[in-house]
Amino acid sequence: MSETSVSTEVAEAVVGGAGAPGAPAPRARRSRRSAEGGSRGGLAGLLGYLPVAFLLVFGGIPIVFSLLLMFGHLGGPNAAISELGQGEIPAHGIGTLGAITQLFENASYRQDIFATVMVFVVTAAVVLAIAALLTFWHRLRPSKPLAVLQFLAVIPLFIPVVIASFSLWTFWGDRGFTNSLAQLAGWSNGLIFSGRIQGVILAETWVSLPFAVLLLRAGVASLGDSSLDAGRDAGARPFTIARRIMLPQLRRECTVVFCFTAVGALGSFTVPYIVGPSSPVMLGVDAVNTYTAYNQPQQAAVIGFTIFVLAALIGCVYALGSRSRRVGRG
Amino acid sequence: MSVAASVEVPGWNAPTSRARSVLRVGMRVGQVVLFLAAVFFIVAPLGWLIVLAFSRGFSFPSLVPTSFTLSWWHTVLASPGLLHSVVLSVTIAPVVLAVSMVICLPAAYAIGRYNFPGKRFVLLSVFSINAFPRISLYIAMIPMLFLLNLMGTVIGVVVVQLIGTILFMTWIPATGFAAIPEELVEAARDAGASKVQVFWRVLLPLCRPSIAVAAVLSFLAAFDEAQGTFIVGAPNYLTMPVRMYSLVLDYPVQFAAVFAVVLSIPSVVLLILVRKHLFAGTSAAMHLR
Repeated sequence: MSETSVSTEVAEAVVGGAGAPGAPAPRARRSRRSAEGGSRGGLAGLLGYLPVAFLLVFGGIPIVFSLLLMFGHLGGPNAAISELGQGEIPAHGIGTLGAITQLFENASYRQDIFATVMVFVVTAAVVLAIAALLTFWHRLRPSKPLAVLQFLAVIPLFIPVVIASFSLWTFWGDRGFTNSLAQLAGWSNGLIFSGRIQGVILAETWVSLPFAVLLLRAGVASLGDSSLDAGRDAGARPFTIARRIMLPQLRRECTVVFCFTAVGALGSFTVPYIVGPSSPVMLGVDAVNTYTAYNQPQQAAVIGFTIFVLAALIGCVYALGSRSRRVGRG
Repeated sequence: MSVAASVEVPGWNAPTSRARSVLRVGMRVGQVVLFLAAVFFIVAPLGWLIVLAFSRGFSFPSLVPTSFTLSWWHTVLASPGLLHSVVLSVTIAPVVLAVSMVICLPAAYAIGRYNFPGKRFVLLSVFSINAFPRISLYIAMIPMLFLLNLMGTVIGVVVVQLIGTILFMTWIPATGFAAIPEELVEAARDAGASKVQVFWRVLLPLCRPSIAVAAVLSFLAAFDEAQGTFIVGAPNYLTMPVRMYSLVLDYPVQFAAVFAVVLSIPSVVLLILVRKHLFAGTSAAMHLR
């Protein structure tokens, strides 16, 4: 599955399609009517394609250049960068896999891939679990503490990622709050997450939580009371209602949360750069280091491509997770 | 068929009243535990950062600073390198915002008010760019930016920061334009307004809240962008977020804490100002068709 088609699939889920949560129906009707009322091709089409043209020039075409660079085509559009780069492996004929095999033969690079996969899988699972717990619980038993909890979960949205990373790095560091607390409590092993993969997972969870909570909150709000009441009337406990009634109806939203969190963690640089260990590093940090510190653009392109492939795998998860037919909502 | 009728909830037995009261107490305790955990996990690190910014130092493992001071603030505000970063950030982010508006607002208008071939493709393309892992996109951009001689230039920084604004500046105003009832436009036309007048006096004023939210989000996306700016702009253009990378590694933690607090002020203030519109606007944008 190509990266674009993956994005399109995910986009369709969020754009609306059949199952977008909480869509304001009258508003949508007005929108369609107004759009149909002014149906025109030419100028509107030109204006509409402006952002696409920008993204094509600075997003689409560069990806093709980068692929050529990865396969050793150092001339043409890649000539300028190749002149400055080091350790390049030029193509003979249609291309070379030299840069790819060079990296994958390196045990440290394989460890980086493993660490990256572990971080984005665990982060996505933890974020989904927390967001589901907060939103489902509040839907079943609305209460002030849970409303406050949902508000707290959205706070990271207001903090720039670089500040969040620095803040978490100091808080969980060897002279940070958590370790001081642990030492005062007599725990000699301490409580340090900074400089560790666990710290990266916690920090990624911190920055990803708002999107997950907002999306699932919209999802649970759109669930009809009738289905939940039916469960209650039958004497079901909240956990059973959440598991057997809410979860199946919100499978698409949960899949979107999981996949977007995973892609966000996969493509992150700032969090693992500041909070994470020096080895193994996540692929985002690896790519930047390879380009800026080691001056190896071809190898950096290979790492970028590895990230794209992993993102495509996440897209496959999305495709599988969103196949289920949604039951109606009251 | 009703939803209630279609739902099967097998595998449970009706709990006794004792079990219900145990469950209720358990839920209360759970809520308190969750609340404390959330405060510790989400809020405490930010509080710690603020304490650091005003502390002279810590005697490990004390949780309280040895004394409080404003000296780090004086040092940060008197540092010419850091001031240069502040100037760069507050100069480049508005430029990015302006360019983003020029590119995206006409598109948002077209998407919101007209049908044209490939409209859905445009929407999905704009959305898709946010579904790409950002860092690999920046890495992929390097050969193109070299080819265009944009590496290490301010235009290169503007381009890389623009990427993160396209979604907000296209989708949210497009939702605003689409939500304006056609009847209002028709009424204005019946009253003799020209197309330009309808746009300036009806559509644009009604869409102003959506555009404002999009502008705030785009400004913050540019202002807070660090990783792409680091790749493209360093070492010539070190904006405030990029400067944080070196502060974390090379400066006393209190110094970086002060800079972090200063850097987060615009984000916090702007987002608090638009928070209600923000959640409504982004929610509506998510359902644009």
